[in-house]
Amino acid sequence: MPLKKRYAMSTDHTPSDDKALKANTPTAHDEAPMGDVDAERRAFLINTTAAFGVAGAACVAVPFLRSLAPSRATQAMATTDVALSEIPEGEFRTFLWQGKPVFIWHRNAEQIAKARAQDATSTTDPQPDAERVKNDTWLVVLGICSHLGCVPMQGGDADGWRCPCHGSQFDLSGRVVHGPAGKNLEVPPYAFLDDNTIRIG
Amino acid sequence: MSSHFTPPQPVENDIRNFGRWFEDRLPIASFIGDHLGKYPTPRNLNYMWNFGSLAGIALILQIITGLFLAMHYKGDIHLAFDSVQTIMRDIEWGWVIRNMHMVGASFFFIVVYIHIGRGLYFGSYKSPREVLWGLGIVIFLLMMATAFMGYVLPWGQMSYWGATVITNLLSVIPFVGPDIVIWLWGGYSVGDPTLSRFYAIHFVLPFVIVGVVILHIWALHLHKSNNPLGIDLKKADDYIPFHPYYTIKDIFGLGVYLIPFTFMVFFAPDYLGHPDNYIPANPLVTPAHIVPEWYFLPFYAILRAIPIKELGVLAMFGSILILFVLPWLDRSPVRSARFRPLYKQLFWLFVVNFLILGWVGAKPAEGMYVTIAQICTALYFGFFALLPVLAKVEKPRPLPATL
Amino acid sequence: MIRMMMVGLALLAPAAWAGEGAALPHKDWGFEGVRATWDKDELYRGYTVATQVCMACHSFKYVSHRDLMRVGFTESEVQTLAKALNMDMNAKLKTGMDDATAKETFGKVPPDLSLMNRARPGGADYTYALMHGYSDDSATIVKYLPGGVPQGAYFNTYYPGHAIAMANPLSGPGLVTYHDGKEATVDQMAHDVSVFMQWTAEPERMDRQAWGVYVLIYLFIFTVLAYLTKRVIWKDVKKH
Repeated sequence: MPLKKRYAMSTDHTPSDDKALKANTPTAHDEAPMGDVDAERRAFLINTTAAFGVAGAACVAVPFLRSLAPSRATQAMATTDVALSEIPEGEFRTFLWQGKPVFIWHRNAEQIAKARAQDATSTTDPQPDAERVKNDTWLVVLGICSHLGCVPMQGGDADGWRCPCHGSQFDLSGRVVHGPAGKNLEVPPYAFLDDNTIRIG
Repeated sequence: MSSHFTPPQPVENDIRNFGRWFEDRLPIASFIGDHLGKYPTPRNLNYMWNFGSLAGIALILQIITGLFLAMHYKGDIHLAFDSVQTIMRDIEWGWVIRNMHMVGASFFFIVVYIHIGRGLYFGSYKSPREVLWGLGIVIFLLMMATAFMGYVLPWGQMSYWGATVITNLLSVIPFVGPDIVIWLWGGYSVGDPTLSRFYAIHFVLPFVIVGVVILHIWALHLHKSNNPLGIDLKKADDYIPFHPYYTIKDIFGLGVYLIPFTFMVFFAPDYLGHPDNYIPANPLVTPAHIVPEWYFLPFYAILRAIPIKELGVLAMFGSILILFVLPWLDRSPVRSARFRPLYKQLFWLFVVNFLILGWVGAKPAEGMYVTIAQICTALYFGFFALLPVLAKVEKPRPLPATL
Repeated sequence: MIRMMMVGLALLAPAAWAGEGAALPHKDWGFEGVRATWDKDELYRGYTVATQVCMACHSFKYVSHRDLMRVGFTESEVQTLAKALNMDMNAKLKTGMDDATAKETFGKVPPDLSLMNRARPGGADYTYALMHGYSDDSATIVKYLPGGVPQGAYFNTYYPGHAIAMANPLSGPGLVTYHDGKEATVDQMAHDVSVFMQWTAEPERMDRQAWGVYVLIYLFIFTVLAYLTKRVIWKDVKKH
């Protein structure tokens, strides 16, 4: 028995059956012939139900996707307070903020002067040192290489940092002086709570 | 539906023909079309036939909610209980996902119990659908294992003591029983290794279930669905295509199902659970009333009805395993209970008896409750024992030749 | 309709939990019902009782001061409350008593209270009744405990077994001073702390109840639409 015949609504298979079958299996794309009230009503109901159902399903996806966002506990821990007295003059220390390393450099007068002078050499992503600090003494940058996310080490030709992964170099203001990185080390949002405390985030 | 050989028709490799070109190489669209769209379905199915697809949807919902819970849950005895509280409090919408999973497990069982009951009433287990029926029982057993291990994961008092009691059932195995239990625990009591392995198995079993469901549907589509009359349908117009007729009927059924489901998720999430499971597991103190989840209660009642431990365990497992041989116990050539006056009454007695077993399973095992459980256990197995005799004494009503 | 369904569920409730404690009287709580909200003043009073009485021995380890911001407290209010207890606003509400001292004093570590209203049948009704269940009346005690109260325990009508290790925490009126000047009677304190513990047990409750209504309305419309569509599609199928 031809397979198609089993789906047919009548026992005798005549050419008209194909048409009858088609009429009996409406789809959402059914076009209602003008004046056919039944078909119009059917198409309207099918489309409304489908649209309503799809909209509902889309709304259900929202809580599932939102559940993957940082939790309330993570959000509550989104800031880090740093006591600046921990950092000896002329050196930097690394702190953890939102799971990422932050370098805070306690610059001495000589290093500040040098960073200012390096304004001239930071040509890849030019930005004056004055715009990158809130207080000349304290440089706060994310310890994440703007190339592929490694943590740079102290060193390099510009007395700042060099990245162990691909050799990018940064100066005393965290600006890139040698590729492959194309951007300076990012300055995170931070504020001085008092003379001795910085809140990052 | 690959019974017709179609010679390959070369399709020009052109982006405009991508659909036909792909179909020529992997005919997945026509496979889905044949099995979901054009699958010939008896046109006289009643609403009892909605529960198969509902069970499928319940399974998929459990897998999705479970996947998202697994992204936050910690399978370590020191972290498990707290991680559930993190899901409830700190994860955005975590409570809705957990409530859906919790309530979803119960609703999955409700749907499957009705699905099994429908099969029993309309004789869907009879030839040529014995394997289809057997695969269904396998799914039911896998579901029970999955649900049991899932209930251990929150690591509350009921989790811990449920795990202890149920795993101890295996100690009745002669000679090696106690060693098997220790091996199963990975220690000398239920503990961290137990929780870790239960988590791993709880995660993977649903996918095994999906595999058996595919076999279940394969077996179904080979001989087509049974129908309320239980007769073999021979005429072409006895069948209608699954889509759109049964897709829309199933969608309507889904809407009806989701209303009580949603009500429980949002207004009574703890109703089917036990308050004790909000107390962290304590190996030193057993809760005063230890009761399994409601869907295990009838079998739990059978276990406790028999005062000899080994026999009780055998009876409990036997009460499910006996379903495998049901197609050979019931010798009547007539499928549907509509035409079997005696079987119909017996079926309803069986259902009521099963509900009483569930009720008595929640009661303490003492006094009158033990007696009730024993009578009901006898009736449970009596149903199966009567079936071969029934075929000889019962006079079926005349069957219609067609729909 | 929802109320009716609730009543239906209550009637079906498994009797397995009718334990050894006396039957709990039901109180009409403000947090019940689809339009309920957490009452900030009520919670504030409950917080006062919880931190000044309960937290002498018990912890609320799943709750921090910051969580109060989810029920209408402002950040500065929360900061002030936390500072008054010498706590960080992100720190969990833990008792000052360490486990070793607790064990020495009470024989066991008093249980954490965050989830208590979910971990006991009856929830807030249980907590409220327990606070009223203490009695010195020998006739009452003999009725429930013919053998007398065991050494080191206290009689409580509603505690399963009637002998509780905790002395009456709300021993008399005026244990705390409320922020809103309300009189701190024993009944008022019992009520407020029960509501507070309901909040610590299920802070998501209001979200749950509010969203549930919308989802049910949606599903009801969807189901009606699906039914109508089913009817038009099935119209041409011969009835058997």
